[in-house]
Amino acid sequence: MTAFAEGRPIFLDLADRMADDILAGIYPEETQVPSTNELAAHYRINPATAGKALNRLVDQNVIYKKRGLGMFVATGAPEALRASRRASFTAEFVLPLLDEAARVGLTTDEIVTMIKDQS
Amino acid sequence: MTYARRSLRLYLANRSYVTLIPGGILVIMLAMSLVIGVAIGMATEFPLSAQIQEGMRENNGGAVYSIPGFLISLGALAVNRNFAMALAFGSTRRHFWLGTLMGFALTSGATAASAVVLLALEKATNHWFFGVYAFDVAALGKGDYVLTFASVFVLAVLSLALGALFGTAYRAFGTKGALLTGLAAAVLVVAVTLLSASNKETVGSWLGALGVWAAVVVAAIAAAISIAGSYAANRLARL
Amino acid sequence: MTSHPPAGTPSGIVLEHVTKRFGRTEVLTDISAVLPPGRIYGLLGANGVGKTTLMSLVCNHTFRSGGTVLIDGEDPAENPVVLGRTCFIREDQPYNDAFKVRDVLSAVSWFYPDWDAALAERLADRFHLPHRTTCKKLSRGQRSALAIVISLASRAAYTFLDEPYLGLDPSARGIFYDELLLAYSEHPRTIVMSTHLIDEAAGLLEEVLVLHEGRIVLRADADEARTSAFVARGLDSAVTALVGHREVLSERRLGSILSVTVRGARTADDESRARAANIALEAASLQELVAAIGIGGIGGVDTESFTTQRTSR
Repeated sequence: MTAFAEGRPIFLDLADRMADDILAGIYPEETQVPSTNELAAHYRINPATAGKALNRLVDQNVIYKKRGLGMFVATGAPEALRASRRASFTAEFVLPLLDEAARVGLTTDEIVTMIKDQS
Repeated sequence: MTYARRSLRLYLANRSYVTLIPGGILVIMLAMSLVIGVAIGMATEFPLSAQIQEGMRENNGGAVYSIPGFLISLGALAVNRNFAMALAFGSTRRHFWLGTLMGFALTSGATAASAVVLLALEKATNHWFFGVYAFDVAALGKGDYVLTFASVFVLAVLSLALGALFGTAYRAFGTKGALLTGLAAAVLVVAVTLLSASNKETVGSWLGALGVWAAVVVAAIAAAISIAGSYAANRLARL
Repeated sequence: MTSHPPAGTPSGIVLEHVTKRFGRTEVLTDISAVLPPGRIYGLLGANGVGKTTLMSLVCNHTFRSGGTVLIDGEDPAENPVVLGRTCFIREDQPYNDAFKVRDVLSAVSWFYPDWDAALAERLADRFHLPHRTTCKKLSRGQRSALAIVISLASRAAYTFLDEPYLGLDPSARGIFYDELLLAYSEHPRTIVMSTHLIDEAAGLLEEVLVLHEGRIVLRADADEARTSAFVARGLDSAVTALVGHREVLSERRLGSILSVTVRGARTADDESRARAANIALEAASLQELVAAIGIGGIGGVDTESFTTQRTSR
């Protein structure tokens, strides 16, 4: 029903999903993102949890609050998100990839070939 | 008062408690009296002989017997079934009890009013055309409208209160408790009777002073005791 | 007559050392909790552990054997103002068998000054509740639907839902969750919901209280509780080494494979060690956590580390 991953706090997952949406251009800079209640209703989660997700994005300066109107995507947010994701790319994706490759016995050259074949 | 009225509304949600049932009881009783009267008439003569009519007038206690049967169970049901809902909806025990008591007054009033209407009808039809006496009877006050209303009203309240007492005792103390309450009530009645018998003169003169209202007053006292008992049990009742 | 406490007065539910005995059996022991108002609480635990009894005690439907209960700063016992703010329809709620559904809905409207008749109508429609059927003839699902309609339309400041979805099929449950959230966001109130379909409802809850053997063994933010245990599965010796001294909630063996539910969040260290030792690490859902508590109990309960008491929002 909630379709959120087990083992991870919902608000973190939700914050990530919204960041994904912002990166994908679904919420351009200076446009409004859904409210706490709208998110809660859509994902069938507690409004407080939705609020925590939005607060996290505010803390990361991805969105900001306009008094009386709601939350808006900050200028430069997509770029900032892209930069921080690039920074954690190695730890989040490359290292696990190399781990698994080592486990099954793939060489670096084989990995590079695979990547080239796919892109 | 507003809190009690909520429980009164609950009681009244089933309209038949104040419409069908009160009148229905008496109509059924009337029907039975008519059947008996017609049966006797077919065996003897129509209209019924003066002797038989007088006998009916003196002895037909149908009105008195039919009321407790229905209303004791109505009282027990009302308390039992509505109590759970009242608590669920945020009522206190005493406000439920009060609201239900107000409902009992309405049911009793409706029953007494039906009796008076039927009494008037009985007189107007010359005792149901055949000389059948159902409401113009000694038990209800020999045709006196005020006495008839009072008798039926008090009897109805007493029945409902007794039913409520047992229903509440069941809610408070379980089946065993309800039985014990019945036992206690029986013991009380026996005790009062014995006490009255040993003080024949005092009780006798007191009852005599009340005259035709004696039965009504005694029933009213019994009703008051039942009501007090059900209030006490109500405070201890739980789901 | 207002159905809300005046601003500035204490609010919420406070339980202190609440105990309940039935005869000689102590069913609830030393229950203490402060529930700030306006949140959705989940009351979790195995069947028969005492969830309904606890809610019953709070609303004074049955009498506590010891301890104190306060709602909005007052003892609810025979307190019409405070009780008037509560709505608690139990899972096996008796209705007047002779009443029709419309009689019940009409009667209950008088008990709640904020009764939302339009909402009641709309909800009765959504759940296909038959207005002219007597309570006696209602199916289990219809009884649940009726309870939901009443609970939500009452707008009661303290609404208790006791296993509200029993007999409802998945689509009806979905309707319930949606309407619950809608009602809650439009008119925030305190909702305490007991459930054993935990994973489905977990996202809706703000805080959870887990009952086990008559005590509250876990009190936490729902999201944190969801991530407060994990499962490690692999070779017996490797898993035991990984777990170390951490608390084990339950374990299962299949030959030399050991599957263990561990209390605590899994760390990056756990992950690398698991990769090295061929141990599978999985999330333990809230349902699994509660079930594990039910099987194994929690020894040396340190509720401090799991209690997130926020004094203000």
